[in-house]
Amino acid sequence: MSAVLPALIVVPLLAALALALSSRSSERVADILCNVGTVVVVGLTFAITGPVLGGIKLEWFAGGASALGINLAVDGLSLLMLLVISLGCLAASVYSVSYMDSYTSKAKYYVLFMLMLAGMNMVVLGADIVNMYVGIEIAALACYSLVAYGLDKEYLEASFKYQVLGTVGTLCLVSGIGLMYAMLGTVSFEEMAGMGAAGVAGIAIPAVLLLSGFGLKAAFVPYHAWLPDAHSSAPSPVSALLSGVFIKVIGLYGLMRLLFLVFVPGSTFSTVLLVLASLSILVGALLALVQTDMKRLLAYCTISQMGYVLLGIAIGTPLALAAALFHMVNHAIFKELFFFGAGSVERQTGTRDIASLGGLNSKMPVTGVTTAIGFFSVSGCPPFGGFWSKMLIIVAAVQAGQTGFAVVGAIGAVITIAYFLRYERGVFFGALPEALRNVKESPVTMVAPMIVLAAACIGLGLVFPWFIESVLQPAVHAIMLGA
Amino acid sequence: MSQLCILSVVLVAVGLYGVLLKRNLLKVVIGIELMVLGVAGLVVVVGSGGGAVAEVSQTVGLIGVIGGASVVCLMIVTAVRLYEKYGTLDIREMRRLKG
Repeated sequence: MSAVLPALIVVPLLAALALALSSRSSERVADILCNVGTVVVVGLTFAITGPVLGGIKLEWFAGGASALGINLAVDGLSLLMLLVISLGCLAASVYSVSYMDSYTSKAKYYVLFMLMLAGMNMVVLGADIVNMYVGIEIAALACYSLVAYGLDKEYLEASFKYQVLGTVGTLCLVSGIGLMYAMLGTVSFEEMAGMGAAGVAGIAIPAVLLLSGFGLKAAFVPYHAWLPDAHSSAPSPVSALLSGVFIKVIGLYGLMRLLFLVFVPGSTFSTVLLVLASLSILVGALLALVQTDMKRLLAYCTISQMGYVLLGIAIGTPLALAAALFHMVNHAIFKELFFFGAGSVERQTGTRDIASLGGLNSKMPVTGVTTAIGFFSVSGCPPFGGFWSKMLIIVAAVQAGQTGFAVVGAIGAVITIAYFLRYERGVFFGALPEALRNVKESPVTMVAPMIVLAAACIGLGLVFPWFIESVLQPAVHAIMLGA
Repeated sequence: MSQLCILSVVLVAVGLYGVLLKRNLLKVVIGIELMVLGVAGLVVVVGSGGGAVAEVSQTVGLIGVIGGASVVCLMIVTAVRLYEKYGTLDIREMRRLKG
């Protein structure tokens, strides 16, 4: 069973190699190779789901169990992230089949896609912080290139900006990891939990560096400058992956792993996290209010919603952690759905400007309805998934005595409804402009992932007690290992 | 050891100055490269004393240099592409994206 762990990294790498070798053959070959690769990764993830949820911790070592080897491990938290990554990538790869027809050299796009998948899997499988860092680097390199994939002026600019800020973040991580190792003598999460790393003198210095590094990767305000450019420049399936999966894996996951090891709830650090979270919720939402570009609005919404997840993490009670993880999963689903919808509108109409769109519900019914379902989820209408997770985060904040931050969460939820109402009215309702009379619905490979994601928005809202109990609780236990 | 530490910190500071204040894309890239080297040096120097095993710190530093080198390659490629589009490397000319 443990052999599945390296396979989760090797399979996408091999798929990337095969795609690179076949880049001169037909585009259909590339489509099939990429989708087979993501399906295999989903299958491998499902293969270990049962045992891991049953309480077994899978481990795999190469080069001995030393700090220099490749050490992989899966616990509840890694499994949750693996499920989000593999299913998110599968949806995006199916969506890419038709969407990427308008770009050249599709095979090269899939190569980068697969490298990103391999890197993300490595991040969540790494049993120590060095392996995690290597995964972050691989995924980030692929991601920088994907942002610039359209090769227009603004895409290149966005990518350059992202490269500079992303590298500064990586350097913060490297120095934080180096200093932490010098103090603790270990980089393994398990050993750090065993030795009470938070009590070691001087740990605050690497902790600040790691917080800045992960903060830059996860785009918390005030580290968010790169995100709206990068996420609106990438091709839509990549935007969906970036917002829905990528920043959680390379930013939030590291914070969660180190939460009880370094940033212990109740300490000064958790206050810093709480302030960052409220800033992200409010600034992201307020900036989203004034956006005119569909994808930029969604990107600012990501900043705001990531603030909610961070709020739950910073409170740090078991309920808050479960709520934060649930909101993370919900956000992954509805944000992929929104970006797919925006990509579908952009592909069929040729514009992303909210002001020049309108009335598309009659012409693109599936895109319209699925986006509306995503809207209900993000704005917190019962019984959609987003309602339960947002409410649980606010309830957990009140329970933990952080009433002020609960109020911030509630205000953020109201602003969220405001900007998404504007989005819905501007794109899908109102009068249809003359220029858009002949718009048609997108092809089936783009519509199918949207329908599945919309179904997941509703489904998760209905089965949430079961989901929290059986899937999220093992992840919460994994986070609280060091407590 | 302390001199090496100071050298690393100075490298990072000079690099940061380049990234924050220079208007030429290539100078920004040079700044990033200097920061990478400074950070890698810092990790190796700090990890060579105390209870740590020097090899692990050296590995972390080396991985940092490799990652930095790959990113710098990508940045140069992007800078060349931007030069082709704009005919200049001046950041002030490239303000199509709003914050």
